Amino acid sequence: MNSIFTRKIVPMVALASMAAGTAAHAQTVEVRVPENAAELRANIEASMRAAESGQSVGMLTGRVNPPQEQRRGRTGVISQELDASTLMYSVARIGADGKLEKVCVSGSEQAQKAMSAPAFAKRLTPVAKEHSDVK
Amino acid sequence: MSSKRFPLKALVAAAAVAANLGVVGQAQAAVTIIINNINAAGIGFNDPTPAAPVGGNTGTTLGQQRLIAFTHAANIWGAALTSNIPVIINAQFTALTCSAASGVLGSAGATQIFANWVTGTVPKPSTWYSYALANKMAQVYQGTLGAPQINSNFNVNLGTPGCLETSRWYYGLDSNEPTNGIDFVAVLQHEMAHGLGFQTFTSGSTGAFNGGLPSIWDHFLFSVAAGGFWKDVTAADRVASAISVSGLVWNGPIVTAAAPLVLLQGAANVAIGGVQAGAAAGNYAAGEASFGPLASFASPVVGDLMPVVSNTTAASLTGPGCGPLTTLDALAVNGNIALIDRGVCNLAVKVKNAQNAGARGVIIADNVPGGVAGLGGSDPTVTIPALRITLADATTIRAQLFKRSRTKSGVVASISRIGTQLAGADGLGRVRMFAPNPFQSGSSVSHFDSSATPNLLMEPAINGNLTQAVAPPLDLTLPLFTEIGW
Repeated sequence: MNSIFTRKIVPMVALASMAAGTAAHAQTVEVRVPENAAELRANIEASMRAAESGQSVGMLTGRVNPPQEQRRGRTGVISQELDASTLMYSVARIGADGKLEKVCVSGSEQAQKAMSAPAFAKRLTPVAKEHSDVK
Repeated sequence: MSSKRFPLKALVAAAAVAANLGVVGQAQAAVTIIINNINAAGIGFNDPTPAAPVGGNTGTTLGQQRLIAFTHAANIWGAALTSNIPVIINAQFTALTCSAASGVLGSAGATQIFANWVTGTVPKPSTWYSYALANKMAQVYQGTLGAPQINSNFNVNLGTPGCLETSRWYYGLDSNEPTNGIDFVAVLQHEMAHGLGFQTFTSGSTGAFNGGLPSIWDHFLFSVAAGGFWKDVTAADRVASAISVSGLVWNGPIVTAAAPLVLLQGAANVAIGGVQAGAAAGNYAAGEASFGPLASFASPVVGDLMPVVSNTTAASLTGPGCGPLTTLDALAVNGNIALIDRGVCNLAVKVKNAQNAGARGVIIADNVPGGVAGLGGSDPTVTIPALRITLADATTIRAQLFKRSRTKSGVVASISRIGTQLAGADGLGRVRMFAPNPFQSGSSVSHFDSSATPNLLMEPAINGNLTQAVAPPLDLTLPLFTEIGW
């Protein structure tokens, strides 16, 4: 593709597609109750407990220190099972002004730090934000 | 929420281009999202506790409402994204860390990452992709067939004794949570986005690639100081850019093209002029308020600048502007621009009191040294614009206000905007990513910068005035997803 196409046309097409796609609002969700729900719960809980103590347990399999896996051959797929330390955590706290504030952090360790911090770190900006100074 | 600009002509033009290329039909495809309810009987999504329908959620038990809200959030992503491979999400309510004053609301993320699959397309070789996105591109289920691609967990104890007990999950579908409510749909939308791929797997704190490979994000994260993408610069460069505050941007054509459709253009400005302006004449950078109308290019608000000098007499309202203005202050600001010192009471209260006295606009003078900052708070009844200037600038301007009558100062203030830079982007229009100093693990890098205006879904703070939109003209999350291959 030439540079004008990639720099101008492709982004415009992408934006137009987004407008059309989000307007559709088709029902796209199914709810299932897996037969191995108890096993899935146990693996996640083991991974989350391990992450709190700095250990790595795979969220899917419950394996300790899940390795990076590569299939044989030059172009073999590479995969890495993740542990709960890579989960993103939403944390809430009641601030000094009595209002609830929320922040998103990575991993249980950072979530613990966010919970116990005197306040969520804020970046004051010259624009209107809910987390700007109110007084 | 801030007023929005919708450049219809630009979008219509883009749609015309898309139609000519025959791609609009593709966009109406979707991805099926399968919610694995892994809660045990009677718990979480299966909780039989009766609940009154709320905010469009018709469930009549807690469990039903939770599942309806989860389905609503998943459906937004399901309609916005495309893939032939369903996205499977494990979902449960469970006990998460909590105390009376703080707690974990929920957690979510991809369960695996993949690179170099052998079917479909591999746009960037030797690069990590989140599970769901890898499946889309490979067009074949990677790993164990039917394995969940995203795990999500939410705090079942929220609002009970010892766990943020004054707060509640809000299961309404209308983004209209009460003061103590936490919008479950908004939290879900944000966390699901991380699980779908809104995340680099490269460490921002050490700069190390995960297992020696860059993530797809690293092909677009750009260090301004090093002049290169994260995949190409050194680990030290990545660490430096992750704490550069304004030196980490998303350098991709789709997000950059979308930014002007979403982000506010120009910076708030106070222009000082008039016969008595003297050495204070000129432009002053200003912070905007999260309440009332934004400063406008097209309709500057102009008037003599008049200081509010008296504290109100009520014992609890001792700060300037904290109560109804005195007769002399009200006379001064009526039809003019009020200059009020920050402090003592909420900023929105000061602005509302000036409005009640007839002011056309308000300039809040900071009461401590520092840079330009915004005015937080809310009051839907405020109808005049308010800006905040630094203490140093206020001191310069105030020096020209000593010779004034009761209704005129001869120092004319104009509240408007200046320049073309987008709020949340750099001078080249590239959207800034969150890069605070010191580094905030998790919040840093894998979020849009908090300077974006209006608020975006994927800022580190899940703001209360989000609209559930994920695409322009209200949000930039979908353009970023498109950029990485969704």
